[in-house]
Amino acid sequence: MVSKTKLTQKNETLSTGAPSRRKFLKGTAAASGGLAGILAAGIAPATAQTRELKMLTNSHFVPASDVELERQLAEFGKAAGVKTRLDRVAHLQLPAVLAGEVQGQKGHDLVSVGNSNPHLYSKHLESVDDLYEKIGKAGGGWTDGTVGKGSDGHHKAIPWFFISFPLALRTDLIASINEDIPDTWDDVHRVGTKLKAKGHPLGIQIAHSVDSNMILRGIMWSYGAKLVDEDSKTVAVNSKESVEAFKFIAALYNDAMTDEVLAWDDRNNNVCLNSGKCSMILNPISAYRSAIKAGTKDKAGNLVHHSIQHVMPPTGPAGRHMAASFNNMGVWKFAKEKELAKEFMAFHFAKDNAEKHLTASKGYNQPVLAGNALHPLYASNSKYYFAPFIGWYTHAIGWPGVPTAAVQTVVDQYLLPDAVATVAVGKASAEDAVKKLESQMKRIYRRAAKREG
Amino acid sequence: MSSDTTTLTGSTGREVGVNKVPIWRRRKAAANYIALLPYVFFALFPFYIMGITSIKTDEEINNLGQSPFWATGIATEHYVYLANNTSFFNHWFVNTLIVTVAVTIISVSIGTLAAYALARLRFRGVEVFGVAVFITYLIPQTLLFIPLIDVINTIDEVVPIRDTYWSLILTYPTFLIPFVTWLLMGYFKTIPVEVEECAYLDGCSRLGALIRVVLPMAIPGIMCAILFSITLSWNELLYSLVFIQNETAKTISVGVITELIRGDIYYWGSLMAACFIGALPIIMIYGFFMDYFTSGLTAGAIK
Repeated sequence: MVSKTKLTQKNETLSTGAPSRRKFLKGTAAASGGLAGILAAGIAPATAQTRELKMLTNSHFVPASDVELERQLAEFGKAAGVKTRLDRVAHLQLPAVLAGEVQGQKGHDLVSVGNSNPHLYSKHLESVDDLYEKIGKAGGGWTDGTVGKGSDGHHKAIPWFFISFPLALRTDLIASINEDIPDTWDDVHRVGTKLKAKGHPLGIQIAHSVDSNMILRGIMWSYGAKLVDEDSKTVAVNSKESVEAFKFIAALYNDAMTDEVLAWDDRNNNVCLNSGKCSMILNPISAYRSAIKAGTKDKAGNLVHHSIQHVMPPTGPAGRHMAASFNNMGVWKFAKEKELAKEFMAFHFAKDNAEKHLTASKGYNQPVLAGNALHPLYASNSKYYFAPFIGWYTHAIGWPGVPTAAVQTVVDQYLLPDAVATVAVGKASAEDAVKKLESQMKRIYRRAAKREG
Repeated sequence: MSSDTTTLTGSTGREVGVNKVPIWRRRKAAANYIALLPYVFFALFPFYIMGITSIKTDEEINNLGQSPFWATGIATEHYVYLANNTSFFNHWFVNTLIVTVAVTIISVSIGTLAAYALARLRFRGVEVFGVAVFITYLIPQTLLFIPLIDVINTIDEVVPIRDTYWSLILTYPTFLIPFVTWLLMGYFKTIPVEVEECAYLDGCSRLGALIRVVLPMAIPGIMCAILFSITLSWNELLYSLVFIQNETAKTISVGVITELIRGDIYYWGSLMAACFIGALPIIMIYGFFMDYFTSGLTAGAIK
């Protein structure tokens, strides 16, 4: 029996005769486009595919680290009976891809969310409090409780690892002026001034770079200054400590550095140290690793990496403090495989796998789990002796508060490096630069407060 | 004897060489070329640095005591690294080529027809439509990619185009068609309408006149549009970055920075090698079609 609807449709077609040109074109385009697309892409429609766990992270300093992560994903996928995929983008491009995924509410399941991103994307990330507790308990506790928190106070990501900023120095150059390894910022100033006179300046970026944001924060904190209060909401940069810190950095710049640091990116300080021009930089172990990879030699033909040593960041009047880049692993709320993603995190953070990943990173990935801090890798090479202890002095951006979206905006706009640069080159007094920075930060924090209601 | 001299026989019977080109003209030409040198240097310097850096060893690149402007030897290690450790040749280059060719064909075909319609046909709202096309061209990609993500995701539900170059073939025309239309509108307006009318008198339809008369006369403009389309699609970064994260589906612009910039460790030699190879097709195309490019751009500038 033919239904009434079908009859009506049939009658409509009969009454109008042939379909209109518009209808015909629409139908043909849809049919040919869809089929052609499927054939051309060579992939079955999404509905016909098997389950897949997709992870997005930034390309690691050490390719072997990515290889190990991919291996773990594959191993997990095999056990779970699902396909897995690790996608990577360059670290400076990761925020654009994350923003795109949030906008489209579609993308990967697991994502690497650095520094303040768990706070920024709080509404779009799954709460992982249970997993955070479980992993922390099994791993001997977390070294920093502020990392990975969302704006609602819940943990929106599992702290993964941090990249620290020790003082990397050329022992051969320091020994040449009969000086010892600097321990305080005043030591750095004194030794740096002497070495600059011999053509070997200190190299700290006062520029638009990640390193600059981290190191300058470290100096500020060592001088007792803070950009924001413990509540993470009140801008607290306008203080006499900040003014003192600005004056010190300006003196450091004028006495111990050259003006090229004003235009440096994150890579230039590595090259400067390895080439024998710079005597000291503050940096992760990249300069050392690059020197090994390139087989860099000094003028006498000696391998440069033998002369590079890493020590604790210098201490200031208010103690030893340094910022670090924290990486976290989170799961999107719009992910297709949320549970699977959480299961992988549990798998990856299990001691054995976490250690393998740490080892593959050749010392870059410093653990945020206390139980992994004394990993044997750090005792295997004197250049890594600093690593188990630097966590004591390391904070996430936003310290003494938590890393918030507002802090990230201040970081992304390079407000601190710009403010310090104006003082260093004599375009503003330390007092004026601090006041200007305060007003810029207050504007950002006001907007952030409005957004969060 | 040079080709620009002729030989005359004088009254004494001796052969006398007479220059065709006066000496003042030679001097003027020499002065012009000398004046051009700084510009040529400015234009070619990036390619030179790319080329020279790509054949240095890592040790040489990182040695600040050595001049960055020349190499002490020729090292192929960075090209070998690209071939063995990245998907540069077998995927990224091929993907970029496919996307560029497809997008250029689509954009120039549609843009040419749109430009002709806007320049020649008289219908209600033609001027507004022309301005709208221009305004569309002015919308920055950094804003346009946000709604386009939704478009791509919606299509992806039916046909999986995300993480394939089809997402780029579909989205690049959104900024290229307005540009081509805008460029060619100006060019079509410089072609006398009387020539077209003659074609009608000879029995051509509008389409026939377009194909047989207008398009051949608009070749410089169309070539200019093609060159721009090729350049813009070849170099595009943002859409490629946002729509494709799959290693083997990436284009050169994204693949290179993903693999060769790792935190603060830049694989500088391989980066320069990749940029050098990536720039070669564009350089060659511009080298061959520069005259079209210049005349296509300047047409419509004066009446």
